[in-house]
Amino acid sequence: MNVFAALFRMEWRLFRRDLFLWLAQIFLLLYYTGAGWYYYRYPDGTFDAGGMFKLMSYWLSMGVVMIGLLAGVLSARREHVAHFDEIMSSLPGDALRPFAKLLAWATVVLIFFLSASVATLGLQWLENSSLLRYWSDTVSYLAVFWVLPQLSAGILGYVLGMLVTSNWIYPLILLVWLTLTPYNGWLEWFRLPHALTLWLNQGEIVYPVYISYEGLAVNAVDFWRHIFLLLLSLSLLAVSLLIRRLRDRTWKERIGLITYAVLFFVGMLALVVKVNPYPEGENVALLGGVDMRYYETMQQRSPLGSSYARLPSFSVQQVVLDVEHQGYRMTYTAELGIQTRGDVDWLEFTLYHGYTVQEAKIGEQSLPWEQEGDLLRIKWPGEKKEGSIVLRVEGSPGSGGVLKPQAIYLPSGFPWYPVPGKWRVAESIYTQPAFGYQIPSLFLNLELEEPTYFNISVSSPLKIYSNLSETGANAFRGTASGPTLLAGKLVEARVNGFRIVAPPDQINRVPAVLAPLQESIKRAGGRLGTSTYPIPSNIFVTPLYSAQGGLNFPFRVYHDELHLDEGIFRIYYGREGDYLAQSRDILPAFYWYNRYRESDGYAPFFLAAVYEQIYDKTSLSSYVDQPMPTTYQKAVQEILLLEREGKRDEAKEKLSAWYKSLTKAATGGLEQ
Amino acid sequence: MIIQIERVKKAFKKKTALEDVTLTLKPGIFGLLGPNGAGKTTLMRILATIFRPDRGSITADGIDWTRDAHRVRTMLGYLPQDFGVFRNVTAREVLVYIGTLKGVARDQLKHQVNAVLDAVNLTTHADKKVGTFSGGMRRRLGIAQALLGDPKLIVIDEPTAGLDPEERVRFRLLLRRLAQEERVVILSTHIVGDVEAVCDQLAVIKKGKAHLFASPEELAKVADGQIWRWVGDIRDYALLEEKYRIVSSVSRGSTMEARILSDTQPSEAVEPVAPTLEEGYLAWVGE
Repeated sequence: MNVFAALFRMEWRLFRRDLFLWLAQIFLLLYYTGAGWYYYRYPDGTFDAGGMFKLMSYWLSMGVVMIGLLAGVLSARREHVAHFDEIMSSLPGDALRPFAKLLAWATVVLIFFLSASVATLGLQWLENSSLLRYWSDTVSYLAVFWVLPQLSAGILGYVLGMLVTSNWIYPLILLVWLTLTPYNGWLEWFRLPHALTLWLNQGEIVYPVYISYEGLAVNAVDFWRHIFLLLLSLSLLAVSLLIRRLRDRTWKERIGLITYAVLFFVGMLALVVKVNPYPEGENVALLGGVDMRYYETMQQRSPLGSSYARLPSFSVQQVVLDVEHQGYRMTYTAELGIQTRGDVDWLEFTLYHGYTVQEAKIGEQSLPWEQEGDLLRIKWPGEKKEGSIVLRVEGSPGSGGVLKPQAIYLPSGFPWYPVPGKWRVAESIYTQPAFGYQIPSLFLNLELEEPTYFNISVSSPLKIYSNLSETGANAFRGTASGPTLLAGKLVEARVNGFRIVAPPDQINRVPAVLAPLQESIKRAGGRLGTSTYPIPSNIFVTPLYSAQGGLNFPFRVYHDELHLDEGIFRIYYGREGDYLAQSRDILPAFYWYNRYRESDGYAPFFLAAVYEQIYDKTSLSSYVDQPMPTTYQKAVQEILLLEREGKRDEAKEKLSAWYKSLTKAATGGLEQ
Repeated sequence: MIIQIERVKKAFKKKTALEDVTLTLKPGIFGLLGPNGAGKTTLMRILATIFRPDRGSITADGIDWTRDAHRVRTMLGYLPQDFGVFRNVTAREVLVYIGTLKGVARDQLKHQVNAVLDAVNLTTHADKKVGTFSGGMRRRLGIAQALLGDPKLIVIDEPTAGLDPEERVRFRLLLRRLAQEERVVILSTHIVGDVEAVCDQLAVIKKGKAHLFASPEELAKVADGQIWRWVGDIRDYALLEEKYRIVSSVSRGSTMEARILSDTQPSEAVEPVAPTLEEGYLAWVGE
């Protein structure tokens, strides 16, 4: 023990006196806190600690890996450069020296970690950031994204320092560094599998770990990705100690090193086999793409405008959901109180195809069921007029929601539970945005026509929020057009009769956007000649950006809920009220997707474009003569022509009439 | 303690460094001579437990070098030819470090460190960073660390290289003192004068094979009848140098005095003389 303590003390002393190491780390921390503070402290005195963390931590991860690699090389070469290696090889404890080095390096990394934690939390405290309340997540993030990669990089650097004794080590370090950073996609040029690049990447993968909605979402996969490199580094360390040595190893040492190498390598392989480095639930692009293609195919089979939707031939009196949240998946039992109208053979529901029914029962009697895409059909016992059917369902919402270990977003207009009737779940819009407007939301609004009584309990480690009244811990009930479930790093506040659920650093900014929003809604309704809508009382800041297929789609409105995209509060910091009050945002959300409508997706955007041309004086004239979807070309060109000729009142009337005819034609063949 | 080296063989890939080396090392100072590449450093490293012999054994007092390497290391003081220390630690820190690794008890460590610092005349520099040391001081520090832990076996490779004459004399006296304490001190050196000055017995390694000599005089005797003293005109010296192996020469004005190594009498102008240790060594390795 004395020998190991002496080895450790010397190794620690050498690290302690390594000026490069400390200067590099101090520089990194000063850059992080200084530049972060400078860029994320806004003129109004607020400080976006989350934004700062999101941007700066990315570079910091890469910085600590580089420091680790260089420190490792220096540590490996220290004895050789000092001509001290031969003496050390002849002294007791030579076999323990790598372990002492490892422990000393871990101590250095621990000090870096503590410094980074103090700097980060200190800055948040000084700036009174709401993120401070999640300090344990910040510390976890630092542990996973700074400590583990730096520890592993130090070991890898040591391995390289032992194996490569020439000056080629420095370009090699650069190469290894690039291999361990998010910029390691070049590995695929050499036909290396994509999964390998994901495993090796010690920074954040495509999705940012910090999303204000989810907070600092360090999940198990992030942890395992970093453990992968640690195991690989330790395995390589054992191999390099076998290969490069001044002293002949004893058989005992050789067997020990081989055992270590194999054990660490097998552990690493087990991780690769067992864990997906980029879980589907995190891969927004993948989920969105899969759904996009899926609904494209569906649309080819059943084109828009054809009769696809069908009202239910029964009513659901109540829905009891017992939900279990299991990371990226969920299971639930749904007890549906059914009352049929006339003779019913099969009950038709719409259930997103990511969910699979495992069992269907009425009482003790099993019921046959069929699932084809988003259509769920359950055989109804013909003799019954009413009864409760119980379904056991398992699945995930794809790009229609968010379901992760650290966050949930299941909106009420999305069929994550069986929605009575046959409905088109999404439209696939696969063309460029028209007139510079964003493409519309993929998912249609499948809120229930008739409000229904819901009773929901959720088993989850997360605190759940809902539009329904809370009756206990993660238990909700009430009558609504659909249930929304939310979870993440969220807080709740009641302001001026509104119930706001939002990330802590955004909650104070939500009330300010409501007045211009309400004004804009009212104005648009009046101009379109339709009834206006008050802002619903439940306002949820949600990850619309990373769900629902909407690119920069800023909000969705349901009967008793307004969902605002959390990204707006970051991207349009300080201007979010103006951004949200734009007609191009208001019209689609409040006057199109506020209920179930089918169209080719362009309708609300042509509508908004023409509206803006007439009322907000944008410049659409150059587009008038350009080809556009024929359904709208005639109407759009007529209105724009009137406007160009100065017949503004006629143009406005025409617009209102066109809106009404559009909405009437967009009910999927059903009566409005 | 008597160290028995029995038929030790060591090869690196296809190159044999040591071939059937058998030596018996008794307490005292044992000199190891040999030309470059003969296998001296390999043997030193084997004795220092850095290398393991491919074949053969080394034993002393029931301790086997291969099986009990850890025990050997605790009773070993080793100074390699190429010795250095981290630049940013002090001499005392290095000695405390090595002393602890060698198992010196904590209550004796300070005393021992001071004693070896004093022995190598580094006391006043004990708390200075090694990076500030001259080459000679670093060498002395190397010697000091080898003396830590009261080693029963001291293996020293080229210890006096880089030392000034005063330090060299001091070191020889130190070695002598150490040898009086029932230790085996193995000294590998190119400087035959060191061996002559301090060694009780010696071996010469040539092409991986070692030959033991009971004393320096025995090695010197190898050249008996082969060393001839020549004194002559400086102009004839060049011719002599072409024809014979000159082992030393001294210029005295217009005349030269040279010592020739030759099995036969080179000329009438030479006279036989008693060989020195260096001449014995040259005669041996020159075979």
